[in-house]
Amino acid sequence: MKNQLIENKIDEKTQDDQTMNNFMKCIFEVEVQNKQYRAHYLAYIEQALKKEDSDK
Amino acid sequence: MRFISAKILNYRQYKNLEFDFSKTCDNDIHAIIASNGVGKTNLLNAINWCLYGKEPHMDVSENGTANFDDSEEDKLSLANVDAIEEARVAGDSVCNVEVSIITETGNEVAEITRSVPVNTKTYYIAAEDKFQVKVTDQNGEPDYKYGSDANAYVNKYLPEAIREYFFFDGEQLLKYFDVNKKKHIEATINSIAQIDSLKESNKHLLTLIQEFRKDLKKKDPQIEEKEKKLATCENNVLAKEKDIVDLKNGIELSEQVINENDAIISGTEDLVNDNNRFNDNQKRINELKEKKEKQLSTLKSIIRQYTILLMMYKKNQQVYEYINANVTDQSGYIEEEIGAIKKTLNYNKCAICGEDIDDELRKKLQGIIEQYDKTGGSNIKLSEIKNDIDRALVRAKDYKIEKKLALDELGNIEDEIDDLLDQNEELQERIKKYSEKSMDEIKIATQEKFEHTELLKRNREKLGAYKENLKTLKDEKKQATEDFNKARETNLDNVELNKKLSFVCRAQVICEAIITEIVQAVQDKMSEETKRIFDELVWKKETYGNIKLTTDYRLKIYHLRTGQSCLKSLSDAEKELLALAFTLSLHEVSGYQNLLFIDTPVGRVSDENRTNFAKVLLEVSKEKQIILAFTPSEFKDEIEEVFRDDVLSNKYKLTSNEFVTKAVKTNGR
Repeated sequence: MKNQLIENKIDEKTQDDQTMNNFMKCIFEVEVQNKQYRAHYLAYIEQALKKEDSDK
Repeated sequence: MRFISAKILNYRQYKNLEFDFSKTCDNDIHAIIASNGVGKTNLLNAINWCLYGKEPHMDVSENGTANFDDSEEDKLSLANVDAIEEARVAGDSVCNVEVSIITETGNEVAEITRSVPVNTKTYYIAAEDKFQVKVTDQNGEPDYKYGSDANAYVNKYLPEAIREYFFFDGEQLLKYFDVNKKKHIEATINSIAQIDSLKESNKHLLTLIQEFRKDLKKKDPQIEEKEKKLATCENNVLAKEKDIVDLKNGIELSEQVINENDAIISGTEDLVNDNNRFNDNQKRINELKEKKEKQLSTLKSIIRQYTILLMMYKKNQQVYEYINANVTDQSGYIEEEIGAIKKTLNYNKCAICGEDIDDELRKKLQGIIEQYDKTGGSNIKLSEIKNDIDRALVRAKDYKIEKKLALDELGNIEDEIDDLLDQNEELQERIKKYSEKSMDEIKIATQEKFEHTELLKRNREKLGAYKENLKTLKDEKKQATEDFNKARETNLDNVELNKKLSFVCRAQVICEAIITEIVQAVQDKMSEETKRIFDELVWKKETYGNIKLTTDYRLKIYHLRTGQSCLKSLSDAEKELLALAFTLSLHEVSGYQNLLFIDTPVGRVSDENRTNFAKVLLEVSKEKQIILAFTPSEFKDEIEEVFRDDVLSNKYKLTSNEFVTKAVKTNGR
């Protein structure tokens, strides 16, 4: 169950940075679903950096 | 989510019990009336067992959460004894225990069932329990969920972590705002608002930052130096933060101790003073009794002293009067005359004029001397006796004065003793009336409260200093971070690692900012919702002003006119109402719009506002399902009047023999 307050706050804090917005939502979801964090986080970081590079 | 019905089979006292919780009137409120021992509380256990596989035994621990006991003994008593015996007689090796609840959430209907077989010979659980949820959507299509999927379904709508905000004992509402519950409230809010998940994200980001930094410093000595400095600064900040947490825990402990001791001292504020006065009085009484004894012996000694004088008084007076009347005191004169006569006789010449004396005169003078020798001495002696008697008579007259003084002193002592005895009698009555609490307990509580009040004051001052110190350490850390970043950015050998680190650092800063703001936002929302609901329901419209959930998770309510915090002066019913408003706001903020099941809702509210509170529950039931379990003594008079048959959707009365409880629907709907 998503917490709308938190979703809104992430949007507010990352409004100029879509990559960071995605990353934050992804890692939050990992925690909500109580998944193993390390592998997921590292994968999301790689993804985010690639996205940033391609955006440049 | 609301309950449509519940069916309980072979569970503890309930051999076969069915409850219909359909909404049949404006109020979605359902009453179950059962005497103690009939199994009213086990209804809560049955619901919890069905939903979560656990039974809160209503053994509420200090933090307000129910304790679970999964011991074999408890599992053994899960099955109904009567049902097991019947199954055994019928030749069955197991007896099935089953609780099934049908719920509706929007258009979705779910039948949640948990069952477990119990061995009819050993009475032990024969196999793992089965947990199943049959979900039927609006098209009537069933979807079966088992095990962890079934658990996930239940937790999606009725999270176990906050189950006690849906199913609880009325007493819980009264203890809601005890100091020792604020940690629990904080944990609950963090859990339902998913702040815990955010905090986990932050923690994991910090771990990755540490890892990346470690990798970077391996390759560059300059970075290593800066990293070392940064690590020291971080450790300093962490240590100070830990100190602050410890200090806050100390403050919390002191507040808890003060609060607990207040409960002991409450109503006995003057008891220690009264007791001290009683003891002081007793001490003084003992002193006075000793003084009285001494005064009595003084009086006796006075009486003894005067006894002879008084006994002789009359005689003495007579003697005195006799001497006075018959003996002239001429001793001085006679002595002189006799001396002159004797001189005259010795020299045959008058000792006064010097003329010779003749025989006749000589004979006369010799006669006087003889006469004098016979009587003159006695007169002198008598005169002396007269003086002694006079002194004795005067002394005897002092008796009355001395006796009066001694008696007055004795009277004063006795008056003081009587006064103190009266005071102590009154004090003893008061002491008896206070309570059965022992004096030692109250003395210890008073002392402990005093010590912790002092400690609290000191720790609060210390906390201010620590916070200032932390600010400085954070500034140092910020500088060290900048230095470290500068050093690593100039290193071009680890571009990828640097990028990762920069990205994660940015994410962590955002995460921390979100946590701070979300905590505040949730607290604000909770305060706002609690106030809105409380204002809507409270019967005193002109008394209470703002309601605020503080940063340390205390709910404060302020008086409308004075603006002072007034939680402690709320009546029991008002406290329950505030707790109910807080619970409902928790439902709102968390998005879990579920039913409320309250065991003994007004049983512990003794003040005149219990009717008002009952009316509030009725009002709330227009929007939310409420199931109430009453004792017969609770459900009578004014409460029965509020929950009339025509305003209740369903009303059940539970009756039982030793082994089986039955439910009888009594409002005829």
